[in-house]
Amino acid sequence: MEHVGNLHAADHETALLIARETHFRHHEGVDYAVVRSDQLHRLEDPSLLERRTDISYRLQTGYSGFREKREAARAAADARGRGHLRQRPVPGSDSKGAS
Amino acid sequence: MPSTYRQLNIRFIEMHANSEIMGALPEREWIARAPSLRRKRSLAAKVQDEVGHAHLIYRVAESLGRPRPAMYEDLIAGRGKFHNVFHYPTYSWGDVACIGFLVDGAAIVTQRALLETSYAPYVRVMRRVVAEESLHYRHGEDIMLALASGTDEQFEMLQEAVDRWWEPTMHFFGTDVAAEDDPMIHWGVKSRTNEQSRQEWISQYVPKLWDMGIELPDPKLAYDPDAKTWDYTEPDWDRLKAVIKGEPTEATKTRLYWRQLMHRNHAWIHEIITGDRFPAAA
Amino acid sequence: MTATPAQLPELSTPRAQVLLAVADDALISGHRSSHWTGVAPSLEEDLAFSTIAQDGINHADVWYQLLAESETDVAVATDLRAAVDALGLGRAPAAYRHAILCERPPRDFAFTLARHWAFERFDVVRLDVLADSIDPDIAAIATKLLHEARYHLEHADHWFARLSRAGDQPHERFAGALATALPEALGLFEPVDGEEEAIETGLFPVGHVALRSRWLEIVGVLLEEAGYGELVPGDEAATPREASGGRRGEHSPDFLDDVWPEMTALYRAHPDARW
Repeated sequence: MEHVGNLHAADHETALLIARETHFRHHEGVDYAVVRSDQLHRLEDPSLLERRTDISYRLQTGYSGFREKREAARAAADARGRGHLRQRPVPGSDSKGAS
Repeated sequence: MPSTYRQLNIRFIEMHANSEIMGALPEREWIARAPSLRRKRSLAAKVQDEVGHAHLIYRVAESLGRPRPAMYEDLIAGRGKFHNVFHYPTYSWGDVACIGFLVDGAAIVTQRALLETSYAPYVRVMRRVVAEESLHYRHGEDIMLALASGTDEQFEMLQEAVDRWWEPTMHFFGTDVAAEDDPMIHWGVKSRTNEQSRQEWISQYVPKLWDMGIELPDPKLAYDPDAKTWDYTEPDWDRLKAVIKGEPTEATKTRLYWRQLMHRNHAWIHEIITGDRFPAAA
Repeated sequence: MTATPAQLPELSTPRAQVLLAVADDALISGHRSSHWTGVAPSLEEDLAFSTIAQDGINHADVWYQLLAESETDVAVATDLRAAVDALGLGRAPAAYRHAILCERPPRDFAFTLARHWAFERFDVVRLDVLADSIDPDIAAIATKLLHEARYHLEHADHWFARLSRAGDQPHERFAGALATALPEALGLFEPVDGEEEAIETGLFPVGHVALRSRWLEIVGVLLEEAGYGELVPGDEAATPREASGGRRGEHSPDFLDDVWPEMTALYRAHPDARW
């Protein structure tokens, strides 16, 4: 569920009733919920989400250089006498090996 | 919602969530032993994500009426179902590479197919899971490539592990059941047959392994460019049945025993942390 | 097999000793905390605590980087990751400078949370003084890490409060865990070799020994408020012998027979390997 807006109402039954027309009259959603704003508890300090150290190890950006790494693995395979494995037919190649 | 549909979904989704938890157990053993500080963190982060997926997916089963404490109790008691590949022990860092790349790769193939599943809350969760899995894929490939291009011992470590994980991963997709005979497909829970998923996985991963000079322990494994399918030796399905239906493997028994112990010790803390009460001890 | 000494930077200077104490506390704490990943008492807490464990290892990494870059010879400078791993995983057990509290096994989650609380309350006090170090690199890193340590402290304080107020039985059980962790926590406040000089030069303002009274002041009040007044360590209390000596490289079987072999065996079995 995403927060889409606010409205004034005396109670949650009224809010449920009215929200259909205040926020969904153009088919903006398939379901909704309402919560009284004093029941919504926010982070006192959003800076708690900021990281100051390098956490790339847990992000996509932490993994790069795959082309070079794959080339290095191919070279190592050749050195071990296993380069012929990649000459076998695979999908998307002619009878040449994987690109 | 038809009761059959609900039950099929619950069973499938609960097994999926259980698998995320059980999938974490073989890998987490290596966080303590990781051979570099960067891998130590990234392996912890990966296992953490698997717990996170379980968290999301259990919620989906809960939304269909199955309480989380009950699912958790069943799993710890050894009654819960989960994917076969997580019944196996690990022996080396090569296993970490195989689980991270090949087994996770198999999970990614089936999870992508679930993006078309019919139960909408499951789809929403799967989008997030699939996004996180692409990080795991890179992590797995990174570990594999390091071993393949490393020392002779590292290469042997990897080849030896691949030799052990090949059949379990082939088993993972299940037997070849025709679409019209598969209730999961009929009800829209799965959008691909087992064989389609297996072929997709082989197409994606075997060329990468060959590229690294890694052999698979199946002399029949070959791509037929005319039929556009892979030929392979039929996995031993009796062996899979024994693993799933027979006595739990030693690895599973040990892991579950330890979980049960911790579970009993921690019931009081669990209640304080989550507010959940567990059903009275069975 | 240990990494050859030639790969490791000069480690006997006061600065290196202080940095090792800070880094090793973080690494070993993170290592022990990471045992819970996948098996914590609830899925939610599994997720939260795993990040705290990863942060410990992350913070250690940052300190090891500083050590490698600044106290190094040519051989180390060419590959920072290899140098960091040599520091984290390649030293003999007697070269580690963490407090023995950090190497204790997680036991159960109550002990883990008690140790977590005692340690985080110490870590922020130490980082706070290091943020005023005359060494600008140390000051900058300490300031950065302090920001992240806030989440750890909030987490530790939160469960401290919850467990102490959740009823008689939880209160008692947590008291037992604190009674084990708090005396051993005194080992955090022992000095490293050359610490006097580090204090005098302003590299490590205040120093470990004097930090103890700051820590005691804070935790004393919190323990009293929570109904654990009888567990407050005395101002003159000595560190229990079995928990003393970590900062001089004298570690317990928990490190010698458990943490060190498990954490370093694979790394040491393949010198020069990249992973």
